[in-house]
Amino acid sequence: MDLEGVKFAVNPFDAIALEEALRIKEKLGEVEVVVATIGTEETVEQLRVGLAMGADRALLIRCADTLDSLAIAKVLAAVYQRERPGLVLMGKQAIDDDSNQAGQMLAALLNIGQATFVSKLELLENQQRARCQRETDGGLETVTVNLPAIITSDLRLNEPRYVSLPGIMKAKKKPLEEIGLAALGVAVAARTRYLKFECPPPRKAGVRVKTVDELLLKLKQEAKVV
Amino acid sequence: MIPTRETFGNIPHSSVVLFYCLTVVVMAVFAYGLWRRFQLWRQGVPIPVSKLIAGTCQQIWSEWQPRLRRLRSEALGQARVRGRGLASCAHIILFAGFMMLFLGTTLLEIDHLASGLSRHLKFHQGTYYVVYEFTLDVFGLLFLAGCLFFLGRRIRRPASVGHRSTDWYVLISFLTIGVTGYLVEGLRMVWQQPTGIAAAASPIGLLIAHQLSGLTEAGARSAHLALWWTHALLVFGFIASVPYTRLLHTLAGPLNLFLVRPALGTMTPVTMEEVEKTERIGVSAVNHFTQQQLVSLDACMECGRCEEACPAFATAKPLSPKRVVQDLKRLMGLTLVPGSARIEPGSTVAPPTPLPQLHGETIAADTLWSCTACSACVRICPVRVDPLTLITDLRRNRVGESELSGTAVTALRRMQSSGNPWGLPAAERANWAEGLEVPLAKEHPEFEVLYWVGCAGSYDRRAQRVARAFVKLLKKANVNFAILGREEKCTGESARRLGDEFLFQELAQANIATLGRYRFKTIVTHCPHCLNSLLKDYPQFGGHYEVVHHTQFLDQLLIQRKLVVISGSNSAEIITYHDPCYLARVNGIHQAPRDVLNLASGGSASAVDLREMPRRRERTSCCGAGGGRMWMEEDPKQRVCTVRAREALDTGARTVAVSCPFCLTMMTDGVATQNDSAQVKDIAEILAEKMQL
Repeated sequence: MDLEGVKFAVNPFDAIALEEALRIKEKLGEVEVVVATIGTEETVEQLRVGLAMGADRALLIRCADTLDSLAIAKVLAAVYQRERPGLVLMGKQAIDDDSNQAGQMLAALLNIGQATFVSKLELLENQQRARCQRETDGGLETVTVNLPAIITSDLRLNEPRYVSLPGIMKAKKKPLEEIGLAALGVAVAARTRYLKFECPPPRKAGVRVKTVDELLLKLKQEAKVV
Repeated sequence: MIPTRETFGNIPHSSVVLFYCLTVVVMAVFAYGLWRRFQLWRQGVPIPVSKLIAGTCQQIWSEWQPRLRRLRSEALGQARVRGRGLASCAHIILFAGFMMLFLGTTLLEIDHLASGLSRHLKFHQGTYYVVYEFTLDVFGLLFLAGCLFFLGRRIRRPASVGHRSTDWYVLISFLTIGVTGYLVEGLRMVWQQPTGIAAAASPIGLLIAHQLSGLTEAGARSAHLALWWTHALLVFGFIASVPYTRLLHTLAGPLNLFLVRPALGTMTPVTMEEVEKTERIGVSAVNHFTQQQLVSLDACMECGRCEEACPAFATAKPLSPKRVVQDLKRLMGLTLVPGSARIEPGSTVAPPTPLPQLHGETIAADTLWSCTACSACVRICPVRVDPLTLITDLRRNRVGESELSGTAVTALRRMQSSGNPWGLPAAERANWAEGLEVPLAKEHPEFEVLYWVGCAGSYDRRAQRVARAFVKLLKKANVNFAILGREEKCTGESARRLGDEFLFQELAQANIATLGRYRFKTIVTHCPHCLNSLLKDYPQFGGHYEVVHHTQFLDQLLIQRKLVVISGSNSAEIITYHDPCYLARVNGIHQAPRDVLNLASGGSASAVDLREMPRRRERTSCCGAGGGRMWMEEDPKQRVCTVRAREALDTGARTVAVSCPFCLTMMTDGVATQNDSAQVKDIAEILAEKMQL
């Protein structure tokens, strides 16, 4: 893969999750928002973006390896035990591997509730429960879940705020803590392995039709879709 | 007998004493008002006045010269007042009349003081007197004619012209000052009975004296005294009211012309050190503007020319440059707490009533984001108020405070991560050139001309065809050129105009570093936004280049006959040309594109029939894509491009020629929504077609 000139950005779904946390904080006031990531120095920039958006502190769990979903969930479970948050918000999936498992696995490991693909979130009963609207293939589903719970965000939950460089510079004063995997007491062993990557086949050139009738004819006879 | 008249003739000594006592009071009221305004201006970010007084004589003069020239041509010469038909004429004659009467009164007072010292110093007599009286009589009429026009206009009240109730006072008092002035003169002539040249020197006064000839001398004298007092009191009222009414523009206008640094197409850079020091970026309170910007708020007369020129206003968006200026001016006025005008940051003494917020309460977010940065308002303002810089300063703050959302943010994020607003991989930046064998700078470092393709030419399907056409022309003319390919990044122009200064600086620094690795003579680009940024933004960060637009470059190739169009047999093609704001208005390039269109006809005028739109060249009207609006959603009912496309099609043109990739997109959309089959093409495409490339 050609990575020259490419700058890494926060996973958009994670940015949405953080935005939701910040909105909860803005509404309730007495809330601490902590952003966490697993990675190296290279991911510090992503945490700074989170702090610039408005998070109060950041945790960098040091790990140079690429982890699979279960390993990530195990690390996050350890972070959960350490931090004891009232609510965990995550992106529904990363846009590089598109696995969509870490949130679910984390909830299972912790044996707490989960609501995934959330497009609307409302805290109820003095933050004891959350009413979540989920986007499913069949339509919108509303569930309530006891807190603490794992909630993963879908695209339409909100629009994350844009932070520019001065905001990121200002956020440098906010605390950023680094923790080693050993300190968390987690040993990660990969259970999955990448075998190979392939490019999708190049698209064939399209055909330009002159009239609507010709289009219909082609759809009927060649594509056989009408 | 030497023609003259006695100053304070017929005015009793007691009245004269009272007159001078009142003068002191009036001057005090005037000075207090001005001092208050000064306090308001002073709260802004200081402007480097030291340059005006420190340094070598040459340095000082180079600071003063352009400023004095502006005062001469634009204040005294009223150069920028022109261009609005009768209203401009009326202002010019009112101004001329006012200045002459003001000068006359000043000279009269000097003469009075001088002759008080010694009888020999009196100069208000003889030929001087005759010329003086005659000139003032004539200019008094000009003054009155101007006042009458504006009074009539205020009754009709055109929509764009602002109105306050004190405007009636100003105009009516001006009118009565003029009329009583003439009456005083007439009455003096009734009892004084001047003859010969002394009488002929004041034709209007003489005319009035004839009408009033029935009066006895005593009657004329007492009427004279009464009217003289009326005249004097009205003048006092006028002087005292200058800082408190619209008349303030007579001081703030020239002051702004003196202080302003004309900067069409440029923006003031901000450094990270400044941000760290002030802990803010852009403007979120009135005192974050510069002192000159605050003066400019008071220079605004609400004439409304900016509003008439504004494409956002014309399409019913919530933006009028005039309103922005006036709203900020009102907020500035509210910062004035009697006694302690300056509100110190961190002061514990709260003002009696909390000030309205600048963002949200005074200036709505939609107002800021409606601006296309087309600079029409900046170009047209008679006193060089710069609403665009006010807006971009406010935008900077909004972006810094994470208050921008929507599709513009997506574009900014993409510029940040991919180096282009389309968010497409850098590796694909030169894909448009496939099959054309376009030399890459990296592989062929011996080139003379750098073709700056820009993001649109690189990634936008339609604009790619422009780049291809231009490259074919360059090859045909055997130009030794190269492109940067994946080394090129977005210039950051729209990021800067959207208010993300540091994203712009990041991109600019990367591009400047890239450009610094190569040795070339000229940069040529088909994008006026890239052109303006390379030409006016980049020098601020150490990037100095010779940059030309592709229409200028093609014009040269045609003139040098490196490109030759063989006249075809085509029947005349009806073309109109839409000037891009950042090419024609901001950079003054509007003849070269027309020359190329004409030369594209192979010298036979019949092959191209260029029909001009009413708004063209520097007065062109925006397509709607500038200032980052390219990346924003636009309500279909409020599209700027629809208005401009209508204007283009109304010329009867079947081809709308453009010379900017943003205009290409917008005009294509605009023409399409009119259900018109007219073609929108870049000038390079038209030329390439004519040359059958």
